Amino acid sequence: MDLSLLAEQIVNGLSIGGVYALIALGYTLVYGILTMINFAHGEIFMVGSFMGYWTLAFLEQKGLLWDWPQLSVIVAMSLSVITCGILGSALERFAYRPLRTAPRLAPLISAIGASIFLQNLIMVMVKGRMRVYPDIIPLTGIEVGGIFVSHFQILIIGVSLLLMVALWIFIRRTKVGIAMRAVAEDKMAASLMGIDVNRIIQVTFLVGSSLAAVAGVMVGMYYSQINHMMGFIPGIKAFTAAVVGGIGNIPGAMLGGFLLGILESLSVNILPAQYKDVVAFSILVAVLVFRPRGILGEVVGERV
Amino acid sequence: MTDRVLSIQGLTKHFGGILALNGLSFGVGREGIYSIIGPNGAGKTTLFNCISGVLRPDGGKILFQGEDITGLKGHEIVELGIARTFQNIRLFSNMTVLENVLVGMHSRLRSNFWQTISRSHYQRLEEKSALKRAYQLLDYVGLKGLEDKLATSLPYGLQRRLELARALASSPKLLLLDEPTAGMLPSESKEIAELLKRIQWEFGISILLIEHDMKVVMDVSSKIIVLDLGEKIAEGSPDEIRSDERVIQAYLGGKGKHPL
Amino acid sequence: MESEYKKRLFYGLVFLGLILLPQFVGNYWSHILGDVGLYVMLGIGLNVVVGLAGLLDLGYVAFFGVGAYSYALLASPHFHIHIPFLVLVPLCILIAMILGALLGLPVLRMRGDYLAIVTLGFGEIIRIFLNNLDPVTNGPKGLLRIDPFRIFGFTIDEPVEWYYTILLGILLSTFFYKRIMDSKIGRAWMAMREDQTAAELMGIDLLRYKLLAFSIGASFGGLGGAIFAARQGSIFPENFSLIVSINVLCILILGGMGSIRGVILGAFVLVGLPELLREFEQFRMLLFGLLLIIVTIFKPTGFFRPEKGLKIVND
Repeated sequence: MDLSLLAEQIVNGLSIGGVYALIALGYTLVYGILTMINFAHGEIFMVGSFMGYWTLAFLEQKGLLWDWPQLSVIVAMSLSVITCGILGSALERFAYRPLRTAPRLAPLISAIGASIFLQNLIMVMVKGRMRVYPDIIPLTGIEVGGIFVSHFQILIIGVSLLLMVALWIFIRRTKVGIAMRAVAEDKMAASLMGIDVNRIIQVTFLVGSSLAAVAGVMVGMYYSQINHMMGFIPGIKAFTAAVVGGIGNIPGAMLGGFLLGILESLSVNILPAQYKDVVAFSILVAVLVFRPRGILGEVVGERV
Repeated sequence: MTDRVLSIQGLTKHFGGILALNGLSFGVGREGIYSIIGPNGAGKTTLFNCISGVLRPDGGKILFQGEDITGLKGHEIVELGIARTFQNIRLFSNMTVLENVLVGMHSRLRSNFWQTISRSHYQRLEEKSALKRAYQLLDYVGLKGLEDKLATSLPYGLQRRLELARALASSPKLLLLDEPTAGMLPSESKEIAELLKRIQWEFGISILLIEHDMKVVMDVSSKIIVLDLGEKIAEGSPDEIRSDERVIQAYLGGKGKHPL
Repeated sequence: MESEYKKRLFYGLVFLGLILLPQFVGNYWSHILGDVGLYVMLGIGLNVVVGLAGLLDLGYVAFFGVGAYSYALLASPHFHIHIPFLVLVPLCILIAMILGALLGLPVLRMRGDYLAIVTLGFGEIIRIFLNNLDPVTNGPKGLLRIDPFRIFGFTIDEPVEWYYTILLGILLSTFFYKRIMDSKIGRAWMAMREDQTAAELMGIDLLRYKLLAFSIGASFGGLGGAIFAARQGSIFPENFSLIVSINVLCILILGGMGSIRGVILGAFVLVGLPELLREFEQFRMLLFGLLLIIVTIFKPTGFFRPEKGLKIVND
């Protein structure tokens, strides 16, 4: 097989994998702290992408976009992060918190409701039509060993890695981060130590949703076409990534994201491209059947 | 050794670095009430979980009526004739008292899927007799008239009795009871003790009992096994255990009162 | 005794009403009522899996789809095969059941929420295959000119006729559902839903009963699918997207899981109401999303509530 093609596929895989990893972090954070699958997380990513689009479109209309492209992107990302952060915390507050002591499946069903709601909210807002991001990413790039890597791909991979390191430091070093770990470990004990558990859970949603927002804007810029259904598949894939790495485990989510991205982009060598999504689902099933704790996760047992 | 219904041989189980059972061996004879006592963390519930197939032991063997049942699945073990109750009551909450007992009978009902779908003669007879037996059992443990109540609507003491009836429904030869009097008033405990003796005698089965209430233990036990840190430190009749030095050591570090 | 009599009378009248209904509402509404009926059938099937056995299956549409495609492939000009429906419909049910067991095998050891996501994935995989296996399924162009049901020279093709066919299907489904319900199988499922570990220690072989729940649930989907294909006359992969699974789940949650009456009410609300409020079509799913959250929060135990006997005269 052509080696440079293979390398190119790996680079593509890494860039989409970075996006999966960013979304996966949101799943893993929430799961780590509430053992709950935030089914609406993919929709937050989608809203983030639209928010970025609306900001850029507005700046373009005002004639600012082409004068200040980098600054515009930063503004779009910030607004998107803020919106999604608020949206994520609101979701936690109104859709999940009342169900914290309910049977296990109840929050999942509520999350499905939230997911349907957000999808259709955006659908109504854009009348079901897709949107196209302004064409601002430069087509420039560099050649490494005979393969072309675009600057934007480097940017995606770089931003993903940077945010993950930042998150890692946040969780390990800051007071809030340590409180998050305490709450994940034992909510009761944490609250007895004076930690405001509700606030910490809210912060967790805020952080996870912000990361998804960044992923949303980057995907919008990378693929340029976005629509209200775009959250579903990446959401499932990011969830797969989180499970592959070991759900609840931050480096695991990162590893899982990159791994899934690469496997998926290599799969086109064996299977027709239409079956790309099948690959991710099959990996998810295989991991859950054969190694449910994922690569880096731990087993959780049940007490009798 | 066929006079033994259950024989535990060198049973070992650890969780991470913690050794919950450390080469434990003992036997349970046919008929009689065998009590297991020991301080918290002695490995009593872990032992039950290994016998009933919830946990797979790391080493050793469990023989039931001479047959090796180590590592069998929970439902297979019930089928062979071991039933149990739980320390923290685990009834089927959203089902009625009667339905709980009928579920307990599951392993004894033979009709298959097609007989169920077609309501065959055999299936109808079987359901009828199951129902009759469930009513009898509920009457036996003192729950007559409460058959159609939701399981969790019963007061605590009656829930424990329902767990007993549900376990008996599988017609066990060995009954594992995990603290059947926990959280009860002394008068209630006394009643349960009487009930246990009656069950043992009238059903002609063996009971292996984990119990903290020493009054109950002394009253009902034909033999007591004392565990500490996953090992057996003493075994004998209530009188023998009462005067055992090592039991005193384990319980109170040698100072103070003997638990019995 | 008297209340039992009143109940029977009430449901007898309801049933009579259902029989007479199409005579008053005409073809268009009979068709809509047929949709409601199909959803009732799917609701009963999913209720076995979710309401009784407590397994949250988000890929239920897969069985509906497989039932429909099995029928369409074996009773249409596509392969020039025309198996009579009296043989074919049971075959479709069987195929759906086998698929249910096959899908169940790897996934049923998983915990509840993982199971939900994986079944969702399976539903999508089936749709992707329907969409891309062109030589077999004709891809997005779908299958056309599917045979309707024909019996003794009589062809079922009017909406009113389909309404009665579907009503008959529901009656049959209810009949079998009830039989399984009031048996050791139904009890084993409910016990599993309440507490898996305790159920296992009552002698219930979890894997076996989960598989059974999956395939019995699938059988209703297969039946619904076959009827759907025959009634529509043409089917496309897009008929079998995730939203069908979500809709059926919504029916169970809105109607209150467990009772057939709940399923019927839920189906009327979910399919019927939007028809009445056509101009709000685009807000329909928006409202359903919101409703799903609200119902879940304010009736959190509502969908795991007790079922006593589960008769059609439930309560």
